[in-house]
Formats: sequence, C-alpha cells, structure tokens
Amino acid sequence: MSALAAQALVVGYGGTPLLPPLDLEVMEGEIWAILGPNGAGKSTLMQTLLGLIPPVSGRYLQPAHVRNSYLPQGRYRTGRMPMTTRDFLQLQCDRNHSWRRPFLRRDVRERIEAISAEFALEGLLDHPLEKLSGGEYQRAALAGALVAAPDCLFLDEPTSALDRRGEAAVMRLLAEYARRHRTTVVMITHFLTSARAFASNLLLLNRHAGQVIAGSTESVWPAAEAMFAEEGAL
Amino acid sequence: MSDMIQTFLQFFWFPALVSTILLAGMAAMGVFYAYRGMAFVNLTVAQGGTLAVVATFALGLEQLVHPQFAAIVAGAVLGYVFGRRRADAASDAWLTALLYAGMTGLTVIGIQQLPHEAHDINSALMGSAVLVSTAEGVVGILLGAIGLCGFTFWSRGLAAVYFFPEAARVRGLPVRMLRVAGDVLGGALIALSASTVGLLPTFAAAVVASGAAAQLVRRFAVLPAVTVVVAVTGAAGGFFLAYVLDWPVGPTQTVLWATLWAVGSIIRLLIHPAAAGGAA
Repeated sequence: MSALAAQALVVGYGGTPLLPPLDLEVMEGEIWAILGPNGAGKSTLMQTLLGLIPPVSGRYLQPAHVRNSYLPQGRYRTGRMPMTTRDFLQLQCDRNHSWRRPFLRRDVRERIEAISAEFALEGLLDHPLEKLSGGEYQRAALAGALVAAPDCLFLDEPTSALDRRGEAAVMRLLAEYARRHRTTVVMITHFLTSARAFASNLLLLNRHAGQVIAGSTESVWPAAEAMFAEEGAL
Repeated sequence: MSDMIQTFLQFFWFPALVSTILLAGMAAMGVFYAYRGMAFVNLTVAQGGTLAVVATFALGLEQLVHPQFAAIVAGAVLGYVFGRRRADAASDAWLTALLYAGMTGLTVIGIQQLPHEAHDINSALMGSAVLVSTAEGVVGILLGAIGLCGFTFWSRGLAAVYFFPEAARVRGLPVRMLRVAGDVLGGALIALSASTVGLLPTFAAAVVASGAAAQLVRRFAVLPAVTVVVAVTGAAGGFFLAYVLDWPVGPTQTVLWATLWAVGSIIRLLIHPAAAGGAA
C-alpha cells in the first residue's frame, strides 16, 4: 500500500526549481534514505513532501489516513527552559485537536513509557533535555518523533551529531522499531554505510548534474557510490 | 491585625482582585514571552498600551473611544506584529528598541499636555494607583481570566507551537491559528494590564514571576501552574503589604516577586547545587 507518492514534483523556492521533476512512490513499511551532497535540495524536498514548502509544480499524494511525523535538522533550541525528556515527549505527543486537553490521557502516558523503553530512555525521563549527551539526545529526539505513533516518519539528518558507532546504534533502534510497527521512514543522511545497511530504497539527488535517481538500494547503490567518490565523501 | 484585614477587604477587595487576576494571567503568558526571548517586547507592548491611553486623552477622543479599549486594540496589534517576527534577530531588537523609545517619548510628551490627568497617568505608569472603576475592573477580570485559563490549560499545545513549530505543523496542530491567537491575546492582555494596574507590575508579573517559578521547578509541564501560584502570591501579598506599609502597590508587588526569585534561587541552590545560576 502506498504511503506517499510524488508525480512530476518540482521543488524549489520562489518558483525557481532546485531539482528536475521527481516521480516517486514510497510503500508502507519501507525505509528510504535521501542522499546527496550539501545544497542538493534534500531538506527542501523533504519539507515539500511534508507540505511545509509549496512545490514549484507537480504534486504529491498521501492517503488521508496516513499520519506524519517530522524531526528537523539539528538540535532543538530549548535553551535554559526547565524541560526534561519527559516534558519533551509530552510536547511531541499531541496530534490534531488533542492539544486542547489540559491533561494527558492515560493511554498517552503509557505510550510515553513504552516508547521510552524501546529507546532506552527510562532512566533519562527526568533528566534535563539540554544535559543529555549527543547520543542520548538523538534517541530522545527520535522517540519524540515517534511518540505520536506516526505511520510515516520523516527525519532530516537524525544522526548528524554522532560518530559512526553511535550512528549505527541509533539506526539499528530505528530500523527495528520501523520493522516492528510497519512504520514508513524517509530520512536524509550522509552516512552511506548506514544507508546501505538499513534502507530498503535510496533517493539520490545531484543538483549540479541535474540528476535524481530513485529505486531499491541494490539498484541505486553503484550510482551513489560513484557520486560520493566524485564528491570525495567516501 | 484582623481589623486591618477587615478594613483592607472592605475598601480594597475589588482592585486587589482585579490586580491579582490580571497579573496572574500576565504571568501565565509571561512563561512563553520569557522563553521566546521577548521580555523586552513585553515592555514595549505595555508601553504601546499606555501610549494609547494617553493618546485618547491628548487627542480629546475619550468620549468616543474608551481609553481601555484603545489600549486593548493597540496591544493586540503590537502582539500580532511582534509574534510574526523572530525575536532573536538583531533587526527585531532594533525594531523593538525603536518602538519602545519612540512610544515612551510620545507618552511623556502626551502626559505633559494633560496637566489635569498627569498625576493619575503617572500613578498608572508606576503601578501605584489603587482605584479602578467597576467597568474597567470587570473587563480586567474577564480578560485576565481568559489569559490565565488559555495560557495554563493549553500550555502544552502553545509550547509545541512556539518551540517546535515545524514538527507541530506536520502532526496537524493548527500552528498559525494558535500563534496568532496567543500573540493577539497576549498583546491585548499586556496593554490592558499596563493601563489598569501599571507598567511596572505588568512587566514584572510576566518576566520576574515566571523567572521566580523557574527557580523552583525542573519540569516545563508544571511551570505555568507554579508561575501562577507565584504571581498570585506576589500580586495579592504585595497589594496587602503595600496597604500595611503604606507603600505604592505596583513596586511592592514587584519587590515581592523579586524576593520570591531570590528565595527560589536559594532553595534551588540547596536542593540542586549543580543547577545554581537559575533556569530562566
């Protein structure tokens, strides 16, 4: 079943296209990795698919029942707010009109406990968010993106602050979660090894060459390898 | 002492109630203003409300437009304008400073043109006036209660919208509607509070009361509620203390909140030595 589709979708800003037209169909439960050099238009594409930026032309389609969740690039700037991991998860759990309820329902509280267990955050729930280490924060941010039980999860460089080992650990958690809950994942990453190991499909963007290649990881991998070798990123 | 309390309640229960509810609403809203880095914006919007009051008198419009209504409209407009901008950008700091300086200058010039009302307006500016008409008080109680309930009960949704807007929008929260509603209500509340109970306590309730509460709590989930408790303690306690000591009301309330902040910091230091330095 399709979780997301794009038809001749052109993304860009102020009517200026960034990439050639894109045709794409993401099926339920698939993990897609969006790859490309800096400035390739990866975040713009993701934000267009989420409806945060209007497309230049073309269209994207998503079944009405599909619920999205989005983890933007970088660390949330919570500054000196007295915000614990639990507070953060509670602020991420609302959907549509549920924010109107002043108190959290019991099932939502249970959901927060369950997701904390899955991402090994139980001992960190009452820790200030700003005091979490890079790896702990990435797990908390991922748990925050998943606490509303989305069908489709969009992640913009979710492991950018981690070393290879930490990145692989977080990716394993994410892949395991997605497999167990049949959650569709679309993520932007610069880690080629993880993209190959965990993604079922790749979307390769090369703005300078005017190239967009989408397909299964096996079929797109040689082109990805060639592009990153050219960029000196491998 | 009981005679003193009885006399206080007999003569001052209504202005004390208006002041307490308005300032509690201000404090609940102030949590969001403070953490959005908009403390100075708060003062500027308050100044806008005061200028609107002075302008209605200076232009002889008080028979046509109620000064309180003018303040609410001015505050709502300023709240909307500032809410649409990024508070941390340098250009916005300049805009805020420009508006604050310009409106303060115009307010002072306006007061100079009104020798009969100058004393009353100055009293309102400093928050030392204790007399409030029934109509003004009722409007203050209503708007204060709306702000108090809105910013407390819906604090989770508002926090998601203010601090994690993209993620909230993707989850289907009405980000734009909530932002505009919060900013317009906040602006109206600030301006009304400034023109009814004074600039100083209005600013202090929003920033100092929420800062004092932040010393005592480590969780955002309980911060708005604790802020309201601190605000009510400072507002009602300050009003009564001012009566007992024959001090001006607004400054007494402000000093009480500042004292609560200091006490909160000491408690925080004793309980969590590593967190010394404050959270606000």
